[in-house]
Amino acid sequence: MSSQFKQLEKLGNGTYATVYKGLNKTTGVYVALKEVKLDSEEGTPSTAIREISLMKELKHENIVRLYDVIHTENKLTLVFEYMDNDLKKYMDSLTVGNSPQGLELHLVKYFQWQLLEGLAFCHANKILNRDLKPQNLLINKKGQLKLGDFGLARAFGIPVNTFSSEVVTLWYRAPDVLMGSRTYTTSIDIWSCGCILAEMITGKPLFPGTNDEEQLKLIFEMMGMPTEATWPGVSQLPKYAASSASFQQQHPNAALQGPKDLKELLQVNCKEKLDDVVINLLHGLLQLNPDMRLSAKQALHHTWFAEYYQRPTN
Amino acid sequence: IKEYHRELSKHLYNLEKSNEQFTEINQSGKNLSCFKSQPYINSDMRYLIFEFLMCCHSRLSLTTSTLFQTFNLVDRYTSKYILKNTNYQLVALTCLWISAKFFDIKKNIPSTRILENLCCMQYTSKQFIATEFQILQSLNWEINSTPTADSFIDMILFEKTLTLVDKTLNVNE
Repeated sequence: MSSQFKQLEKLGNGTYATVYKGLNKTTGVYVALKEVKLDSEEGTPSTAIREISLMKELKHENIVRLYDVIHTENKLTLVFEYMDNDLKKYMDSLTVGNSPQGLELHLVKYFQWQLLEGLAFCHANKILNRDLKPQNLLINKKGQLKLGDFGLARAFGIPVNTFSSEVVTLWYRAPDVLMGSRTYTTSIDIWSCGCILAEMITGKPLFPGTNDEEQLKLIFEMMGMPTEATWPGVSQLPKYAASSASFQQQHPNAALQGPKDLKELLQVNCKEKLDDVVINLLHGLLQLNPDMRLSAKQALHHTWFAEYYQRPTN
Repeated sequence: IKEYHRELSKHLYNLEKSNEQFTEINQSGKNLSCFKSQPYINSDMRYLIFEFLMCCHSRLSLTTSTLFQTFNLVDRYTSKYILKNTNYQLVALTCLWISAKFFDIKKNIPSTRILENLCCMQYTSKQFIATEFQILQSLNWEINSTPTADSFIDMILFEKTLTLVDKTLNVNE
């Protein structure tokens, strides 16, 4: 370990590494040190190669900065900007007794805005995050939110290659990916953004499934079962037939049922009055058909954010 | 039309970004005059090495982007460091390894054993690991920072399909 940094307490485990808080002895600035074990047989893990080279490109105020990479005998230490907290821990800390609390709506809006800003920057740089969730959204005392942990991130080409469908933590995984689509694109991150927005409002995860089947069931129960009419090509997806059959078995009348009223559902767990504007944005992010989902850039132009983009940029 | 718009704006973004990077190539990427000043290797050897890389690449069935990225890495590295002719192949194979780690799915990434076999046991796995680090460090971990020919081809092809879609839409309307 380079003597420039003093290693402090452990902050957590990333997708493929351990993260410690560190102190830069020369400047007195706190940093996050991410330690990656090097394989004596296969060299640098592909995840580390991707994370480092991608994060080197991404310099944006809503993305955690990678300052340096230190290489020693058997491990690699990535030096990141230090953030006080993550969104998951922050929301947990608001829990009263056993009931989780949502954030105040003006804070939800500010966080969601920053999340989309960071994401729009990734997508414009041809990078998919593929692992958006509250644990990976880091916040500090100034109320800034930054995307962290690009361990699953990937560069994408224009005709999107076939990727693994084992990406994104289950609760935030898009229905097209759950049904086995391997040609997903930026829309995969947008779905996660929608889930996170709902979670910030209510304090509860929107679709807390325990396995792939249940996850799809929860999504369909709320959003309705997709058909060829609402989502052309959906029946071609590897797992569509199986999931639609089991869904219809459990809900014989599901075909008649439209999607549920999101506003009503979320209002139950939210103290403030929800307006139609935020629900409209949520619908735009949580479209079942990936081609119908808003892009990060479009979402930033949604009326809900009018107060941000109408103000002269700082 | 909405979905189509989305794709287009995304695509334009990418194009813009890539063009930006394109102008930077002269400063940060490859440099022909540097390569010419290499005392031990020359363009004939480069030709052979690239042919060798193409063989390895198709034998491992890696993605197209990996091949182009490999060429890019080899050229960038040889524009920066003097290389002994005996090590050219080692560097080339290691670049292929790094690109594969970046672009390919896990099961297609070659192991050090496969790399050893590809060069007929000329180099050891220790050498590959050491070279890998040497290359990553000297290129400042910037694997994907310069666009390659195939990404432009993809982009142009994509643009073509978009115009076609556009035309058919107009006819329908």
